[in-house]
Amino acid sequence: MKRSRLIWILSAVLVLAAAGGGYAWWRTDQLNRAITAALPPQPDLRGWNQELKDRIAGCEQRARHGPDRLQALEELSRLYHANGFYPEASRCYQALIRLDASNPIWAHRLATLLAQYGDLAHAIPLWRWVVKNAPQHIQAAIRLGDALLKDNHLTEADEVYKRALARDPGNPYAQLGLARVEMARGNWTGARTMLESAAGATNYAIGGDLLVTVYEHLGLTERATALRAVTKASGAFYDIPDPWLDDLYSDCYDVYRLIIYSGTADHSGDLKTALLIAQRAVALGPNDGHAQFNLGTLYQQAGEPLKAMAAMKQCIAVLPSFSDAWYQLFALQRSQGDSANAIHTLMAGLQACPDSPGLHLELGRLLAQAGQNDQAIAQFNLAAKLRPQEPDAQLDLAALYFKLNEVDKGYAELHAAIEAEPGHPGALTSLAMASIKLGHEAEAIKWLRHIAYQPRVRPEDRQALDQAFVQQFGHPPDIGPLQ
Amino acid sequence: MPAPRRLTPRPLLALSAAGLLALLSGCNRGAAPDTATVAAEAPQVDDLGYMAATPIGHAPSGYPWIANLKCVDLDQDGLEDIVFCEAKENKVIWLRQLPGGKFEEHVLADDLRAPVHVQPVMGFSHPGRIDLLVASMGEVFPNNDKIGTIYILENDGHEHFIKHMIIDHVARVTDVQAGDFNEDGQLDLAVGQFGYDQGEIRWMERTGPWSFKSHNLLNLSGTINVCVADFTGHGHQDIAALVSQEWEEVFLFTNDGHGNFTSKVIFGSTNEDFASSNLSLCDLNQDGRPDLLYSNGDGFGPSPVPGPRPWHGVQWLENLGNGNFRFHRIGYLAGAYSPIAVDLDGDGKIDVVAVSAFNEWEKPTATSMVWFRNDGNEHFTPHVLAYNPTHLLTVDAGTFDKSGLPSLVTGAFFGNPPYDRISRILLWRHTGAKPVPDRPSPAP
Repeated sequence: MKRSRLIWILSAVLVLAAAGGGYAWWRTDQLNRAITAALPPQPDLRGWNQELKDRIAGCEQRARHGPDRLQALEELSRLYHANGFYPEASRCYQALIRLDASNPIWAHRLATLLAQYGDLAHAIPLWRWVVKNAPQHIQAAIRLGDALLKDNHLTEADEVYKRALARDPGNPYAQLGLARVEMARGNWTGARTMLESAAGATNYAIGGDLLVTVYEHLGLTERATALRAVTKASGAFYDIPDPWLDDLYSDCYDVYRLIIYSGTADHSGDLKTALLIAQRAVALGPNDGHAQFNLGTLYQQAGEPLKAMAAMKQCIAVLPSFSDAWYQLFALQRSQGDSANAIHTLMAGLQACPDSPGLHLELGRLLAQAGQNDQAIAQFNLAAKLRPQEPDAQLDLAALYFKLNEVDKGYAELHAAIEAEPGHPGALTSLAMASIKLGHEAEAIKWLRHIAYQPRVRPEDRQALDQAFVQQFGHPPDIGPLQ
Repeated sequence: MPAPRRLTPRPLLALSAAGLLALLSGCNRGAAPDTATVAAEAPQVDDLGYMAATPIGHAPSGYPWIANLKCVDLDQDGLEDIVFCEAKENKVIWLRQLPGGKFEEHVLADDLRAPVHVQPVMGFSHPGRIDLLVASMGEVFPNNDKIGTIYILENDGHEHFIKHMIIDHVARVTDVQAGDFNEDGQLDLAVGQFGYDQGEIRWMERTGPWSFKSHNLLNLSGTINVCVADFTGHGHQDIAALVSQEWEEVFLFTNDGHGNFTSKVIFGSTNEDFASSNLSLCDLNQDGRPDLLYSNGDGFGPSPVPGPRPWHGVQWLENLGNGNFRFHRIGYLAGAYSPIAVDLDGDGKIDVVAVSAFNEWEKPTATSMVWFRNDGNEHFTPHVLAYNPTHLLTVDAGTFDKSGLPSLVTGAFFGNPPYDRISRILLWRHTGAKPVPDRPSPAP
């Protein structure tokens, strides 16, 4: 009995193994066929980096015949995505979603690509699936919440953000999303709570802009004004960092795209990654002036002036008409106390870029410091003519005219500065004070009214103006009702 | 009771099979939904001989900042004119067409602060006269100060314009359109305010000849355009608005006929670099419902110079009725701005033309104007009308000759180098050449 039982079991195991082997062979064959069928037609790669071409060709070869076909398709998807071949990348992802179904990264990447083009209708189901299967990937939940919010599904967006917040307490993007939901529902107090938390945790980059609006809506004008007073224009918001996407740069061979990746990393505060990407861009495109410039500015931020200057020199060598690089090199040399080379750079820059308002402005400043006032005025005027929409040259001219006791000319330049930037705090306070001192009450009232709308005028300056007004005219200024 | 002996192998077999199957199938957690892919863009064809450009008005001095232009017969003499904003010079200018196809330039207002949008409106001040609504940002480049202003330039009947400042000290204003929102017989205003960190959309109820009462519609930064039409088909003037910055959304404000609006989002992208640039009215499929054309190509952002992204281009938001819209990609155009609907070849199908303001101008392949030619089924083939000049920010279509075909007028905005292919206002007329045949679209 024992022997027959053993034979029976062995037979069963053999049958099972054969069936399993057959099934495995069939599955592998199906998988291989599916991978081959999924390979997108190769895009036009003329002009692209040879290494990228070789890698794409290698991936295709491995995907068709190699022992690691699925890995080859994965690598191909990365190459296409990282280099901006989005239709091809999305075809790879569509296949990977089926063939490597346990990995949510493919659905997330495909959803991201679709949403980049505004196709939320197809992105939302994918993100719903990712959130269900990879709830730890908060970025997918934030994206889903945002997409739902933009698709008018407030209730579901609210739930998604709340679940994300429960999993990652204090997540500022979830709080921002919830604040938008609350604002849409008219719950401004609820929005305030969320935004104060998000903004507080991110130095006002996330939610800080909406918080001002919420404060104003709630009548908390002092708080709103205090935030408005911080900067002329913040634009501090940065997108949520996403490890499932952000490392794609390491497979990117497009210098321009790498500069954008680098800029994105820098804007989100990740200077280290920004530098890594910028270095890759320069390695791939040493003769790309913008890549060199980008690297130089990042070195400057990182406190490495020598490397920054070297990159700026490279930029100038390949792109001599790019005046920003001359300016940055000049500023770097000056900051290092290397005045002789700074002046040399400035003069060479003006030869290469005679229409650069920034370089003329700097030359004017140097001339003014040296007491060569007529030449300085000529340079300031040239800068103002070349860039009338910015007030810097006019303000420098005004300061110089006041120094030379040419008061009328100074005020004329302040007026010109106000034309260029209607809310410039320094110009406004100077004009108001001048009008008060000259006894022009109506004019003074006009400027004080402008100042009332300008939170960037310092409180002590406002107070000084009010006191001067009372002293001059015998009564406090009546600027009328504000909007 | 003894266990039946033959039962033992069966669970073993079952478990083994299940385990084997599970191993082979990769412990699937439920399949992700089948979905679309990013569609390949239709291949473009060069059609550089289809239209030819002639400079009109003054020659460029420096680097022009033509922020917006409109074709309109301002003096109603039967000849199409052009009005435009020169944002750097703070001017609104009229290019008056004279008999013989000549143009003369008249400054209508020269002390507006960074005017960026001009909208001709019939009968705002007096029946039969065309007045101009002007949105002024105060400063074009980033600034969050409340320096926006709305002007109405009142036509005195002889094309002399009296400036009325309607509101100032508000978040930077980027668009003003007229509509009778409370249906009292007077034109009100729909206002888009970009601001920078804080912005707004409002409608302004007319309470007197030049006085208005503001009603807030939305508190987000980044509004570029507002469009007024009966989008829902309910017989009232609604408002659609494009909101950029980090929001990247298109809103519809549905009017109940009394100036009470309900808002919804009709398009949104989670791509904060989507780069929305303009929104305009059209009826692309000629079904009588007002649709929207939508461009994205504002190339600023995390790079040292403005430039293209793969998703830049032109979209169509098809009005399905009752406030519902369907999104369609029309085509790629790096740095796309100012999409307009126009039957450019006179074949009875509404085409789309758009221009490029921020592109990789160092490359000779950077396109500055593209005609998306409609095959009649709202499939579009991009025909490149021009690579040169560069930095075109605004385009409109009008009738400037007797060919029976519309001409185009472009305005250039030089906000960043290179400055080697400068233009100001160009009139693009048909040359008489036939369009280059479309190239077949890639297989889906």
